[in-house]
Amino acid sequence: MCLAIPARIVELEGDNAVVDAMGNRFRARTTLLPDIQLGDLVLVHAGFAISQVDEEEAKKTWELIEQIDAFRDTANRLSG
Amino acid sequence: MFDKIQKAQAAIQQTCDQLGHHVRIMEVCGTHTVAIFRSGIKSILPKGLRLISGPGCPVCVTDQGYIDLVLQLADRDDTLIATYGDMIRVPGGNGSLETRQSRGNVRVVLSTDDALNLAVENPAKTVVFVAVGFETTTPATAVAVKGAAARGLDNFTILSNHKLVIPAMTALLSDPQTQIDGFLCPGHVSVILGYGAYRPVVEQFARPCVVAGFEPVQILEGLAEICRQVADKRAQVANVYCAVVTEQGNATARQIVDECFEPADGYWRGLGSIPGSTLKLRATLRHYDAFERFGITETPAEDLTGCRCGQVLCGRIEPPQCPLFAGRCTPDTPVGACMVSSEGTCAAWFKYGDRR
Amino acid sequence: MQHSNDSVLLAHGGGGRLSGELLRRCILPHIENETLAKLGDSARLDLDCRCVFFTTDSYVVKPLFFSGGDIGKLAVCGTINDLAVAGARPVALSLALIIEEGLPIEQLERVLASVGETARKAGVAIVTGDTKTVEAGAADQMFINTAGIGVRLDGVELGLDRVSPGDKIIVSGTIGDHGMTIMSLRKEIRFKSELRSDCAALSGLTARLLTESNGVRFMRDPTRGGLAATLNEIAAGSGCGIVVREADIPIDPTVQAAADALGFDVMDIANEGKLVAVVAPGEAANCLGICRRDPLGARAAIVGEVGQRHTAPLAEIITKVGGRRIVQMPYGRELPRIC
Repeated sequence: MCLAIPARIVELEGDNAVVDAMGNRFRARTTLLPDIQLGDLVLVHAGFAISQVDEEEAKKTWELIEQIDAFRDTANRLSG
Repeated sequence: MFDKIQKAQAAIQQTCDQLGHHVRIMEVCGTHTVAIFRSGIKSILPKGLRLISGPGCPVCVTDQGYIDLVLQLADRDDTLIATYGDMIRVPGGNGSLETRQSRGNVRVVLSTDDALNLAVENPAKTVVFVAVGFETTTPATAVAVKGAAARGLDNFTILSNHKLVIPAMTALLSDPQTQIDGFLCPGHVSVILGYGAYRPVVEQFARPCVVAGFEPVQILEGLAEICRQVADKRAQVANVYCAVVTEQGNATARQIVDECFEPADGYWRGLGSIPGSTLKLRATLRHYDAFERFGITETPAEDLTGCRCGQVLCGRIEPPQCPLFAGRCTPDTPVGACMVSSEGTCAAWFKYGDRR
Repeated sequence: MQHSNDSVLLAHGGGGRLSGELLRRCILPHIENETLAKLGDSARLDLDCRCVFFTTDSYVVKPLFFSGGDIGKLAVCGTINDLAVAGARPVALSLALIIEEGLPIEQLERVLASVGETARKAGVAIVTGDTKTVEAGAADQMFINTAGIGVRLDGVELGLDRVSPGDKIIVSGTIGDHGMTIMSLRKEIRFKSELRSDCAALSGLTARLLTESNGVRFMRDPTRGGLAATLNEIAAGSGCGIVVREADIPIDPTVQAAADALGFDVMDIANEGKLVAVVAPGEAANCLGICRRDPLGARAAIVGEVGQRHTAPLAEIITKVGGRRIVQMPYGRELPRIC
C-alpha cells in the first residue's frame, strides 16, 4: 500500500532535504529520521524519508540499487 | 538476479509438490498485489500456490460512509479538499472528487506539506486533508498536524481514516472461514512497525509472517520462505527486505504518530467493524480534527449496488466471481473501490489478467 | 505598436489594424515563405500527385515552455509526425493561434520563433494561418491548432491491414520522456530534473526507412496513451495479438525513476519524437540499422513480434522475470499516487 523510492540526500537543512533519484530532485522531509546525514541513501514515501537504505544489503536483492550505482558512475549529466 | 528468481521458484514448486495440497498465502498489501501481477510473477507461480489478495489497499477498505463525508465537505464553499491522487476517482453515493474538480476546491497533493501550504496560502478557506493510508503514511499526517499546531494554523484540518494492518490480520485469522496458511507482510508498513510487530500474530495463530519488498526477487524469496515454513510445519516471523526493514522499525515515526493519534474502532469495507483498527486524533488536537470542526460522524454506508468488494478484500472470492466485474464495473466506470484504486485487486485483475 | 515587453490585447485578434500589426511584427517574420507572404484567404498548393494525406491536431500543453521544446515546436513536430508515420512527405502546414488576452508578446514571439525554426529544419512551410484572441480566462495562455498536408512517398502503402503474424515491432528510442518532462512541471508536482522532452520531427527518419527498406508495414507515433495505447491499437486494428519484451524496451533511468516516484507506468506516458514501426521479419535488422544511424533513433530496439490472428487480440508483455501479462489501454488521465 505504499509507493516508496530510494533516493540520495543531496541537500539537508534541518529536517528539510532535497533528494536525488536518478537525476530527479525532490523535496523530502527527514523529520522521521533524526540521525540521517547528507549523502545517505533513504527510502522516500509521500514526501517523507522513512528509512535509511543499507546499500550493501540492498545490492544483494534490489536491482534498482545496482542501477543507482551504475547511474552515479556514468558521466555526470547534472548541471545542479 | 535471475538465478535468485529461479532458486526461489524451485523452492516454491518443491514445497507445493511435497505438500500435495494448495498453499494459500495472503498478500496483505495492495502494492504487493499489483507488483505480483505487473511483474508477471502471477503467471509463473506453480498452480499449487494460491495467492489471496488481502485488505491492504487503504483506498479499497475505506468505507463509502467516509467517502460521502469527504464529498459533503467538498460541496461546501468554504473548504479546500487536499488529497493524494489515489482518492480522486473513488465513487461515493453521488459522484467522486473527480466529478467535483471543476468546482476548483479539490487539490491533489503529493505530501502533507503541500496541504499545509494550501492552508497558509488560502486563509479564508478551511483545508481538509483526506488522511487515508496505513502505517507507512500516517507519520506524514502526524508531522503535518504537529506543524499546524506549532504554527497556530487554524484553517488546517484532517479527516482521519488512517488504519492499522495488524488488527485487520488478526480479525481475518479469527474468522473460522478464513483459510490462510501464511502472510506476505507489507514491506513499507514494516519499515515503520518493524518485523517484530508480527510476533503476536505468529504466536496467537501459528501462521508464518514474512516481510518482503516489492521487486520480483523480493516477492519470490518471501513466498519461498513462507512455503518452506509451511512444509516444515513452522510458524515464524521472517524478513527478506533487510535493506530497509529492521526488527524495531522506525521508533521516531511511531512516537510522532502516538503523540497525535489514538486507536479507535473503525469500519472496514468487507471486514466490518474492527476494534482498535483506525486512528483518531487525540482530544488535545481536536482543533485540527475535521470530524469535530464540521460536526460530522462517519456512519457505515449500506452498499446497495451489488458490489462485492468486501468479499474480494477478505479473499473469499476472486474478482471474476463478482457479477459486476468487467461488466458494469470497469476501471473507467468503477462501482467499487477495488476497481478504482490503482492497487485494488479488481483493478489489477482487469488491467493485467487475461479475461478471455 | 507596443514593444515586446507588452501583452496581447483582445484587439489583436479583431481583424483590424492591431491584428495586422501583430501579424506583421510578431508572427510573419518567423515563418515567412512565398505562399504565406501572399496572405490570401486560402493557400494555393500545386501538388503533383493524386494521393494527399491530411491531418490536424490541437495543442494545449502547459507550461508553454519546457526542457526540449515548447508549444510551437510541439505543434509543428506533432503534425509533421502524423504525416510522416502515414508514409507521406509533409508539404504544408496551417497554424491557428488562440491567444489569451494578457499573454506577454515576448512569449508569443518565442513560440513563433520556435515554430519557424522547427518548420525550416524539417523543410515544411506554414502556408496559412489564423490568429484569434479571447478574454482572460477563456484560454490557458495559448492554444494552437495545426493541420498538415503531405504527399505519399512513391510506392509506399502502409496500413494495419498489412500487418501479419511474424512481423517485428521496433521502437525508435526511449519511451516516456516527453510526458514525464511535462509532468515534472505540473503545478502540484513540480520537481527539478534532467528530464527533457523528446519532441522532434521524424520525417527524415521515416523517409529513410521507407526508401531504404521495403518491409515497413505500419508506423505510428505513440503520443497520448504512450506505447501501451499504440500496441493496443495495433493489436485491435490488425486483428493479431502482439507480444513485447519488457527487457528490450528502451527506457531512460531518470524517466523510470520519475515515474516510480509518482506511481506512473512509463508505457502509458506520451512521446513526441518516437515512432513504433511494424516491419517484415526479414527487414527488421535493416530497419533497426536505419533507425540507429539516425540521431533520433540511436536507442532504437526490436521490442516484440506480431502473433497469431485472434477474434479478441491482446497486447501482452513478457516481463523481466519471464512472466507474461496483458498491456492494458491506459485510462487517459495520469494521477500521481502514494499507494
